[in-house]
Amino acid sequence: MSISNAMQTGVSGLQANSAKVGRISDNIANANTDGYRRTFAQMVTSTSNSPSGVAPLGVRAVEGADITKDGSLRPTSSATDLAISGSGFFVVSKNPNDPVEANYFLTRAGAFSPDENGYLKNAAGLYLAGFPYDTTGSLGAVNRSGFGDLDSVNVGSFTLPGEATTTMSVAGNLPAQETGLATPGAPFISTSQFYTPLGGSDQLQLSWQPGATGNQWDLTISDVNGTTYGSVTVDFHDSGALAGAPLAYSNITNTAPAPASFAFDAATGVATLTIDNGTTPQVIDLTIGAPDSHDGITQFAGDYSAPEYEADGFETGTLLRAEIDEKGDVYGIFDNGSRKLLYNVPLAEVTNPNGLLAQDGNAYTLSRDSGTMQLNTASSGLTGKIVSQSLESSNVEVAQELTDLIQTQRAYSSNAKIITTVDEMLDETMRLKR
Amino acid sequence: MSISSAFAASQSGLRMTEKWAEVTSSNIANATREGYVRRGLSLSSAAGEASGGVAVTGITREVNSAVARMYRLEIGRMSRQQAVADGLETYAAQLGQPDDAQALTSRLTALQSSFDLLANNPADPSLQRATVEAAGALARTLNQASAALDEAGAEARRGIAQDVETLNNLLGKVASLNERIVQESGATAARAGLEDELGTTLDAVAELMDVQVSRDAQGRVTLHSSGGTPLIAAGTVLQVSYDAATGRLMAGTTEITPGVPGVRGFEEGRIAGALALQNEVLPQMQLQLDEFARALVEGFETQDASLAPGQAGLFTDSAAAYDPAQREGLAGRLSVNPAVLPESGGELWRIRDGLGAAAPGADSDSTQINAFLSALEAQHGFDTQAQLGDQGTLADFAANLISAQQFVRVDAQDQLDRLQAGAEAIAATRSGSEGVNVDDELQQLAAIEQAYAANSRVMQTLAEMIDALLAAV
Repeated sequence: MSISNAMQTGVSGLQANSAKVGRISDNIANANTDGYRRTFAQMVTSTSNSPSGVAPLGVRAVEGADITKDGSLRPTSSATDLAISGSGFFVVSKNPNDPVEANYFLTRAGAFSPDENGYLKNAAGLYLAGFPYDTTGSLGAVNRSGFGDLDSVNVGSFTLPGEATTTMSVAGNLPAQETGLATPGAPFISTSQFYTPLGGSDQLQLSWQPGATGNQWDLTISDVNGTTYGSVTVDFHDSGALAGAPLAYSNITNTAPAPASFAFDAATGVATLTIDNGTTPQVIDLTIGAPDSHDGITQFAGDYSAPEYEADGFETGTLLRAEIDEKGDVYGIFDNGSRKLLYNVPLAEVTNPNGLLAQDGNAYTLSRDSGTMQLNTASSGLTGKIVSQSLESSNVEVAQELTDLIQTQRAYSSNAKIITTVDEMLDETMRLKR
Repeated sequence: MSISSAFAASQSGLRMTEKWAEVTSSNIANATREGYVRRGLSLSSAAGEASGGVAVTGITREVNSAVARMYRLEIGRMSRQQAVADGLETYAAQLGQPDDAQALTSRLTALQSSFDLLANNPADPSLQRATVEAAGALARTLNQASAALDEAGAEARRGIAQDVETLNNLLGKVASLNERIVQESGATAARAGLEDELGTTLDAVAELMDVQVSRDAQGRVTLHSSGGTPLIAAGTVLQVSYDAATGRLMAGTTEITPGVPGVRGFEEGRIAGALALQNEVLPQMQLQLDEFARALVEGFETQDASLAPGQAGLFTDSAAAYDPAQREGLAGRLSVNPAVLPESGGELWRIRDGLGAAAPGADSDSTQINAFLSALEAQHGFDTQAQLGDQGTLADFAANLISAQQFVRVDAQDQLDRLQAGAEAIAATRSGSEGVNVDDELQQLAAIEQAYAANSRVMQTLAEMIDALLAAV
């Protein structure tokens, strides 16, 4: 080890420490950047092995990033501000529905807001990608190891095309004391909504006429204008374990003018209505309640309260707003009050997140070090969950950076001291010869 | 937990405290407003398990639906009795009490005393005159009572028509609030405001008629009459219509008239009270007045020996003899036979000799007068439909009539007073559980102040820590 080597080592120390200060300044500058991951410089010895014995030692800085350490989440007021609690990254693209796979990045910065076309775009101008749901609410088979099946999430202009009702059910209670009277009172009428194939809303009227025979009712189903589809007589159990449940259906009468029709399956308690509202009539299965079951209409003594109807299908509607749950499901809330699944925002997971390559705008791209990517559903397995109305702060700890800064500053001064000392020593050596 | 997440946590604390102050101040500002339901904050620990801090997840309304339902039922009951009591007020004043000088009973007694005096001095024209006038006064009293009853009926019909229009407006309002509530996201302040408005509207509906209120999966209100007929269901509002002539109320095409057997209508509320007046109470009272008038006319016809068959007696149905087919409204048409009224070309002496007499009889003959007196004193048979007994004198019937009819109003007033006490108790419970207690809110203000100061103190300490570090660099 010679004196000039000592000079070299000092210089390497200066270089390494200035690189480290660079990282610290980066971190402090980005201390309030959402989704930012701190970077750091690690000191590594550098030496060249020489056969002569002790090699000159030096130091170099190796840069790394602390991508796996999560920042703290802070609540915001925007429903499209998203944060990830746990592991995983949002997949974003440079352009909406970008066909170029190289334009897809991973990010934790989730300050999304709709752009002029309704695409969700974060502060860095990157568009959120998700798997679209089809009209039946299923994702289908999607490629979870590439970006090919992703669409940009759009919450701007979405019109729900409407879907026809095919099944309906009713649950409620008929007052037993109204039957068996010498002069039975007026029927109990209730209306229920169903949706036509064009997404319009229409009504069915169910009229329950108490019978002069005890525990017997005549059910008449008609449309909103009073044209009847048909009627059926329902007897209810009056005793035993099944008291209150339908006993049997009889007297099935179809009075609907063709092509409309009314059919009733006495074994299952399902009325099949054919509604003449198009070239192909709409067919609706209305479950009244299977005999010997308490699941549908029952008959106990008590007050009549309006029965509850459930119908599938939905009305045509325009998107009002979107909500995102912790599984990354984007629900559209429509002006007709219906909720529908629009997208699933997956979270990208890689084997070694710290190996991701940093890109402009808080984003990362895959690299050889990061390993392979998998697009997982949030809140499943070890994947983190998506939190709406929150943002993830940067994971920089200012106090730590400042203490690092003090340390680095001292190290830098010490290295500088080595150089001046070596310089003085050289000077001393120079002066040996006059 | 690091300094920066400590910063974030105390920042979220400050934000929560600000929201809390906002809610509390709005509670205090609205403390006296009718229909305002106290707001609260629903809080959760901030998103993400590791981060700490607090998040406001929504603004809650401290609504108590069971008490609200009881309150609405009670208002409905009260309004019904109020409608009956108010509707009969003018008529009852007109009818008077049995011992009032203007009352039917006193007029009857006056007529009887006049006949008594006349019987002792049958030739005295001034006594004849007085007797005819007493008869006229009795007829007029009945006419006025009948007119007051008609007026009460007309008033009730006007009231119902107005209430039905109000009801339709309210139902429309509920439907539009339904649409707006569906569109609100979660528990926002705007939604709480809409819910308040909905609550007030439902209170107003409950005053008119009692309804079943339920909510569907999307938070929309469905309304059914208490008997189960849909008013707002499946996204449609059924218009309520009122036929004044028949006194029938329809929701869409379904009849909901209260009090009709077998109809799935409703029992309580102002509309039910007014309809009960129109359909039951007033017709019954009219029947009682008409029955009294009938007994009077028939009694004097029977006791008048001078009459040819079909000829009108002292009391007439608009100058004609009694026709059993024309009993309805007889009380309103009752008049004294013009044959005894000199101003109508009649002769006073007919009160002594009978209305059918062609020429004056002997001056001292009081036979016919005594016969008239017996008409007043004798027992008459009465229609049991009038529900005032089947047998009795005219005076008994008149006294029964007055007390029975006054009882209807007094009873409604009594029930109203009783219900009022109950309703006030429920209203107090409701305002206790839903309303704003200013003392509580002020206590909260003190807590808010403390929380805000504590959070700021944390921030200050954190800032000092960073400052210390910066000084060291």
